[in-house]
Amino acid sequence: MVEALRPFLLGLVLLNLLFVQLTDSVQTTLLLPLYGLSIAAPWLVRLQRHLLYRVVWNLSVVVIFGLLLRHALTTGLLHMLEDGLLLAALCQVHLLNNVGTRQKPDLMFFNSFLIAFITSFFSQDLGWSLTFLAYAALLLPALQLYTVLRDDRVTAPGTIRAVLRDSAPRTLVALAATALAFAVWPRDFQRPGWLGLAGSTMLQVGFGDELRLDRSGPATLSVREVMRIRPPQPDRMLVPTHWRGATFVNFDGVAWTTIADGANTDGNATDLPWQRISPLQWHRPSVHPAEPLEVRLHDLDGQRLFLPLEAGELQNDDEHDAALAYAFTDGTVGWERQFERNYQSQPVRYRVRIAAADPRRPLRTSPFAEQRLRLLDPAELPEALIALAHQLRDLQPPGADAATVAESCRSWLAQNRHYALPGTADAAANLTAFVLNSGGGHCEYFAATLAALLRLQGIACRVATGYLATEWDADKHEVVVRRRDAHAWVEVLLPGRGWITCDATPAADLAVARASATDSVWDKTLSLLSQWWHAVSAFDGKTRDALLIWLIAAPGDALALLFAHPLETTAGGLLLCGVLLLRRRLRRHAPAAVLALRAAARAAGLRPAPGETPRELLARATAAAGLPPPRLAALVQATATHEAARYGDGTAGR
Amino acid sequence: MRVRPTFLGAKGACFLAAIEVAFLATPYSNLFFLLLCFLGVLTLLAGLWSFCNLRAVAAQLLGTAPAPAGNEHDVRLELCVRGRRPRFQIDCWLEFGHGRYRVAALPLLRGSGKVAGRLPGQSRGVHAVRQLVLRSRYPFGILEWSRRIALTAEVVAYPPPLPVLDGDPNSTLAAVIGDRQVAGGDDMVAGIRPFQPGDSLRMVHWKASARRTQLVVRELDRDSGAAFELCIDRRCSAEDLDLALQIACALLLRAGEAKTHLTLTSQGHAAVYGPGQQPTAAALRWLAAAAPLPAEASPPPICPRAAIRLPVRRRAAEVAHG
Repeated sequence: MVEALRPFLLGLVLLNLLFVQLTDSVQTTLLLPLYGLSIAAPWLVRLQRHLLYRVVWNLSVVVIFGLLLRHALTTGLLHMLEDGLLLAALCQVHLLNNVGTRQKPDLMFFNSFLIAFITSFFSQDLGWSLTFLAYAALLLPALQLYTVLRDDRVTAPGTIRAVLRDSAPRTLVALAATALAFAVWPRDFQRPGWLGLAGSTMLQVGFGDELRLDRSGPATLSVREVMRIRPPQPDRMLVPTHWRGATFVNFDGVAWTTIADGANTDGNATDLPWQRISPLQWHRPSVHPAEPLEVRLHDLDGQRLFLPLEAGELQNDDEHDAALAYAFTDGTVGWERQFERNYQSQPVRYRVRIAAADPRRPLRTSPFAEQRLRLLDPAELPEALIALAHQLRDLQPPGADAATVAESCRSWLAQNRHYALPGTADAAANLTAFVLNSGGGHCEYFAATLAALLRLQGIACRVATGYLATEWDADKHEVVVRRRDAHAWVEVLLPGRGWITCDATPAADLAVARASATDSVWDKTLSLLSQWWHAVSAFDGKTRDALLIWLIAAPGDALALLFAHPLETTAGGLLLCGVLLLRRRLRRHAPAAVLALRAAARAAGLRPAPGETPRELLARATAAAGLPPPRLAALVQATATHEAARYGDGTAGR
Repeated sequence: MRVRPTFLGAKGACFLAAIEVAFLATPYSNLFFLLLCFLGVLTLLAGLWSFCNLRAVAAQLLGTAPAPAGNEHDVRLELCVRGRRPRFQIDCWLEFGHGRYRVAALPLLRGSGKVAGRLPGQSRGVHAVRQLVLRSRYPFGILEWSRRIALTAEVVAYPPPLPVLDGDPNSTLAAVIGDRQVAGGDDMVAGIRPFQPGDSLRMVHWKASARRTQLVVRELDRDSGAAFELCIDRRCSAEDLDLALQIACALLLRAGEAKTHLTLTSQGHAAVYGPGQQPTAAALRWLAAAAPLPAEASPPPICPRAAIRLPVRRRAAEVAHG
């Protein structure tokens, strides 16, 4: 194998080690020697001619393999991943140190891709994707060089440079084609797989109609936009943070669910009822309504109009009256469209006014409804949760009111439990583990725990789900809500004051802090890369459909854009023509004799071969049968003219 | 144009199949699918780009040098590519007989270029080249396209000449030659032969032409006065004929070095080779193609007494018996 390939193989192995490191499954101290051996490979490979070195090296590899295998077998599945990845990395380092006349690099290529492939399951983040881009940019030139340099041929440096120059556009095309295939290839995004591992599928973070606490596995955070909220003035503080879509009242120890359909009547209302003023307008008893917030709901999966708890007026702005709203007893509002086929991809537009509750018409809930909000069967709860409720109750001052107890429990949870996304290494396995602080929890754990703790202390409450609106688009003066902003929190019913929002999740504060972070170039770049990566990891059927629609409509849109701006289009067209003409002139900037010769050859139906002299071309034309004599004569004349110009004053044949 | 997977490609196909099975066995994952797309795209592009790498390449065989049987032949090829884009890793193969041989490999080709290659040693004979095959597996080495170009060429593997050991009286060649080497010719008429274009009319033997009803010319001793006259009787075994041809080849090459003529006579063949006569390559071709005849075949034409008669065994026996 030619030495020119060795740097590429070294790069591949180093990237493989980086892949392994990104999984956080293998300690860095174990990887450091492998990094060192890889970097030292160009020097170590020279020792291969010594038998003693080869014996020591191979024995060491066998011993390390044996140790890793023994470790994997004795410690069980827990360390299987760590040992397996270490084995694969060690294999790459071993191959790198032996590749040469006896060892071809084929296995290295396959093994390197296998490592990239396996680690993709455990480190689905931006770091992995960037490493994979670097890996692809190294793999393709390495394959091309290997193809040219195989059979131990000695190749000129110029050839290697030419191969590398050739590989750059090919790599770009391969990556672009991969992206295109990924975007448009039809497939089932919900396919469970032959092995039926549906339980371990990635959780999609988003708004749901139920809140289950028994789901596990890693979660994907989609950046797909759910809605945009435009305040009356460009001030983010005018937009409430918590936008609710559903509430859950019943808890069975595993899941929070809504009340049964039969109980969803006005008699069971727990909120101020929405009253229909006109077909497009809704109102609740309130005073001092603020300026309206304009909402465009893009994600139409939830069939809910997301509203803040303090919403006093709702106006449907749908131009075609396609969306019909209907209110629930918990103050949430659903919607449906009459003409789904026509307006499927159009966002639902509505306006919301925040208003204070009307003191003359306070919230009155039926005892039965309030009783439901306090209902909880301790037998279905984890013992740890009941013990925690007792512990928190002891911390309360005697005679503390519901608001004080709620705030006390919320702040205790926010301070003593930490946030962790499901599927991460730090995440608690279940609610009991979260309560016992064996791991972090996501918003649903915080909300479920807080609600259970409050109900165990006799406070009426419910769990609400919806979105956290914290991302401010400074360019458009709008708050952007994405799927990853899906959130769960608790609403507490205070006697005489109505409902208040009580959010125990510390991540909510973090999100606010993140939204107000600095807009440095680095942050923007990271944000862009992060969005790109999430677009890949959270790609789904709807995104694909939208992309296809956009691709199909793109030519028409481009034409429409051109016709909409005739002046600019004309100017651009003229500029383009000028550039093309100039380019053509520059290309045709050849002596007249050369141009005449080319024209004569073209007329004779001949194409000069590379390196062919005019005299040789003429000989070929003469030998060719069936060439019309006038054309042959023209070619003879052109050849003679060219030679006269070329050898006469030495200017024509440049 | 034909395509086939290389060994690396076959291993890659197994790898891709294994990953495909794993993909179908597990729940759908975007990242998994992305990696699968990458592999699939690489496979498709490998086939497409290998095809494009070979598509516009023209090639012709400039010639193959005759070589003794078992020795490598020098092969000269000319390759030409249209357009400015360079082509990489093109292997040139010659296909003839039952074999296919790689004669040259070009890591890089820009424009046109002449390539010198080597063809492995062949058995004695005149091998008709069926086609020139161009192959390329660039860029990824997993699929190989081949392009066949029909040729009318031949590879001449003449009998390996017997070693000429000057001054060694015991060598077979010395025993065969003996004192039969003719030291040049004169202007005496040595015989007549059919008229060939270019012959002078003064040399036409009119009487003989009248008798034979075709033009014949007088052949002077100067023309046929070779340094050697060989008469090969091919009514012998293959082994004997091989030895005879090896001796003839040695004498032919020796005559070529000495720039003298050599007359070669055998059943159905009579020609003079050397300066001004037929080229040595034609003699080598005849020697390469010569085959033994059955015992009942006609004898070779009558040769002068001074001619060296082959096969050598018969002559060696005569020499041995005085």
